[in-house]
Amino acid sequence: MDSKVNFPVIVWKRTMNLIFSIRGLIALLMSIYMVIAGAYLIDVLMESSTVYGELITLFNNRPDMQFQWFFFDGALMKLVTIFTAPLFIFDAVSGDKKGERIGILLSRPITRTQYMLINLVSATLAFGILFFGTLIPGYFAIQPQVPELTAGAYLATCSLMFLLGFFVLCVALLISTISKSNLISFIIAFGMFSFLMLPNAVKYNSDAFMSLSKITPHYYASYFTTHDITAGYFVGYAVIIVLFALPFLALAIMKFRNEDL
Amino acid sequence: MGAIDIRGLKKDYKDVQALRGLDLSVEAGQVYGFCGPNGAGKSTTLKILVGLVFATGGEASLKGIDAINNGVEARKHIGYLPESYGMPNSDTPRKFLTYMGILSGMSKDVVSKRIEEIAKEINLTDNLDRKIKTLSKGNKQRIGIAQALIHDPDILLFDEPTTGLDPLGRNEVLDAMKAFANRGKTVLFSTHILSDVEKICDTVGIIHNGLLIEQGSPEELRKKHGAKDLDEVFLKVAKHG
Repeated sequence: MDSKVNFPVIVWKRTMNLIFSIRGLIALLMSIYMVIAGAYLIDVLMESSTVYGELITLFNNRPDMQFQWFFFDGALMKLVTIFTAPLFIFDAVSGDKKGERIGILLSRPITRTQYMLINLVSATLAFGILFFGTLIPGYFAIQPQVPELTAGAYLATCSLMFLLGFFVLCVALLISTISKSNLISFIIAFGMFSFLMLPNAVKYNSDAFMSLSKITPHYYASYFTTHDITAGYFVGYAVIIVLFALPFLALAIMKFRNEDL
Repeated sequence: MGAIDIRGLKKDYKDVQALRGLDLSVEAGQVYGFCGPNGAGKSTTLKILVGLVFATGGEASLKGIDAINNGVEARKHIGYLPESYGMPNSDTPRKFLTYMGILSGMSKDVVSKRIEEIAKEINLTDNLDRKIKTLSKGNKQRIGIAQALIHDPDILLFDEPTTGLDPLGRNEVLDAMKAFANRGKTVLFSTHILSDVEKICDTVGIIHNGLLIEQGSPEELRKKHGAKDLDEVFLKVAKHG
């Protein structure tokens, strides 16, 4: 067998398996909810009696940027990103170990790094296809409600949120590599993101949260970005998110490369 | 040079020396029965050859290719069946085998033809398009064997392939292994069912406490130890090993 492994085909097959599964359906439904909420429910949700309304009253000091806060900064898209991305990867390695598939998979002529990258790229693609697949049509529903929203700024901001998803995937891959149980991997993956994101969201409420917020990528990103939706976010934000993601990916690969299975 | 060459192979786990300088050689076209009590180091040896476990010392080569430092190249020539393994239960055998074929570097067309060939050879044709979760243990073992054969490797490494199968299933697996060897493939399989070894093996190696303590044809070993069968040989050797 001298031919080379066709990685694009492998990645595509795995991506399709992820999309056409229960987890793919959950992610799709969450993305659709995000668009519907952004397009049609914004006025209802931003009333002061709702959770979003309360959050906006609490944290958003720019009343002219309510949609921006509601959709991108405050909760909605980050929440959807943080909760859908790990679905595609939380059991990537732990599941193959637990399900005793890893021996068969790694007896093929591929390196362990390639195995990890197949998992990461497939999950990123599956997440990206569902994410942009709903957000791009969503623009045409949202834009009439928010006339100042431009296609460029919307796409640029969505792309940054996609990169946030990539960061989430890299961390979840590391957790899946370390953990021996899918359930533990699932709990830690989601728990860790609550820890990483929530201190940033509630940093104005207490000094303790202000200190904790310094471990979140968003805290540092704010130095490099503008929050004006019409301009989109700066490239600095993208660079920071990727720089935050790569050490987690490198750690996951290093851990897996040296492990007896 | 044999199809499989192992020299001074060592593996230390935290407190346990699983392999203590194992030497083993298997000639091309042989069926080699790798026997030993539980914990003797059989699975560890196979896992090192496949690259799932890292050796602490020594050398291992497959068809002359360094299996420890050039694992990707070496793995092109092996088909591996672990002792216990899982498969995607909601997939069909055809879908699973196609994925494994592509992961082994085959094109989709070649895999499709190969699946039909193997299915015919190991009686899997009727079940190729049923969900794996609906199949019997024997049929699942057939899929396990099929994934090991999908890329037509020269060396087959089977870890306890007959464990848990009924006599009919066991015979089928043994016949299949003998048939592969007749086509020039090298088969190294671990087991503690010594009647299986007597049926099909050209050479038997007995491993105990991480060292190969006896090797030869079943006939040679029986004569050497004045035993009526390999069970008796095994007991004598293991007791003094």
